[in-house]
Amino acid sequence: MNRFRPRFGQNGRRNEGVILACLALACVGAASLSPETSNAVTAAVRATVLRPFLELHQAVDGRVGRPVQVVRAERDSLARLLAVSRSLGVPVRAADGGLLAGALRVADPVAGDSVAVDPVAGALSQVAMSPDEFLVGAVRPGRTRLGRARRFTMTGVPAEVIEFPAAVVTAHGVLGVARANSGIGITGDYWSHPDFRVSVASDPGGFVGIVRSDVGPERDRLLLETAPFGESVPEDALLVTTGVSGVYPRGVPVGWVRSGPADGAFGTARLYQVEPVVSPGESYTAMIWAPRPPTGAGDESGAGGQTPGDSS
Amino acid sequence: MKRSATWAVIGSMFLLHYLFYPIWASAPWGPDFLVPALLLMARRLPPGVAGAAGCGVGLLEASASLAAIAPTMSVLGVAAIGGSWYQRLFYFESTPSLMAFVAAGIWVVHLAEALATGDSLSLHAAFLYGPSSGLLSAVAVWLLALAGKWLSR
Repeated sequence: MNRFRPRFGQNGRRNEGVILACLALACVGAASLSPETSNAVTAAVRATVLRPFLELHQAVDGRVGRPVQVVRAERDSLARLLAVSRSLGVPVRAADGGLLAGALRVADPVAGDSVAVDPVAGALSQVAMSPDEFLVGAVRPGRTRLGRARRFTMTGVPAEVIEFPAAVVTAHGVLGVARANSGIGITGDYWSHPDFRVSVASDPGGFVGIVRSDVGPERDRLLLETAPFGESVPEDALLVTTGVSGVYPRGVPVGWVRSGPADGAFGTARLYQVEPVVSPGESYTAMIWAPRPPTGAGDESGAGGQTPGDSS
Repeated sequence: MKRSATWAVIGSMFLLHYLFYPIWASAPWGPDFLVPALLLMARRLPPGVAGAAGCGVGLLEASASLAAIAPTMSVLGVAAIGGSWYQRLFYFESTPSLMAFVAAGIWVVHLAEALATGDSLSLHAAFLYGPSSGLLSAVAVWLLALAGKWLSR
């Protein structure tokens, strides 16, 4: 007889039944947790039992650490360039068409339209805010074994200065939204997460709609929902954030309209397929938007969106 | 293999899983040490205790992978209970049957986990990555068991 083979008597069976009933209750209880409580539980486990492993992973991961430093250095050098430009009254001529260059260029009224940019960078030039409001960190996907990553962890960013939810963007556009401090780093959702929503516009003052994720069997896409009787959206239009909710800064690219419209359920909306600017589910060196609260009437931080909390 | 060596192998599999988590997380076709460790542990425990262990491991795994807590806990808990009952009903100890148990178990658990957490499951993930992970894991478990036998001599 196998010495490990479980054997049960009458009492053993009763005890087993009690344990199994307790487990079923625990699972039902876990299923009824609010997202905030789930995040708190996850954060507690990550900050205690998993902490040694997570710290080890961060320490070993030099591959992600270097790009963070590179982007941070780029941001700082561009900020210095902007300061010099302002003091001398000469335009900034950035060779880079990335988000930071766009942000800095438009934050500087002297620079104006002096730099030729690609369509994405052109849209990014609407982002008018201080580069200090972008904190650079490493984004790493979290996933079940066979599933696609819908959530991520972000490290290298001081979580205590972030007001959640907060926008997470790459140099090309919206990546997702940071949701909570997870004990070690920040947890957030890629745009492919079912809870993701962002208000977008084709250009300032143009049509407005809501973009949400569209989960497909092979590939995740975005869907644009507009008012059923609103004006139609041209194909290949670049959608940028409106900044209305205060979570995302204004003018960050989300994706290109690729096809549509189709009628939504009950004809309550028109739907357009949107090709995202940034692929979800991958590791990135990304930036989280942490706008500083206004300090007074004379403050000219130039924030493009509203302060988080001024929900639309 | 001695009982202590068996538990050492199971413990080392849990440790390997969390030590090299970033590697496993980026390679869904690669070996998995968590599920086989849980299944092998469940074979040696009564169903209730195995289920509790499975739920605990599920909570850890959900926190590490940022998956939904309840489905992950439930799937790993049920998997552990199933592993315990399977051993009770179909008593087995031979190496081929153990490897088949591990390989099939991993595939089923990974599928169930993806479905329960609401992840969209592509065909190649379900029928290529899943079996590949199961087979590679079974080989890895076999190698670890050999090492355990050698160490326990």
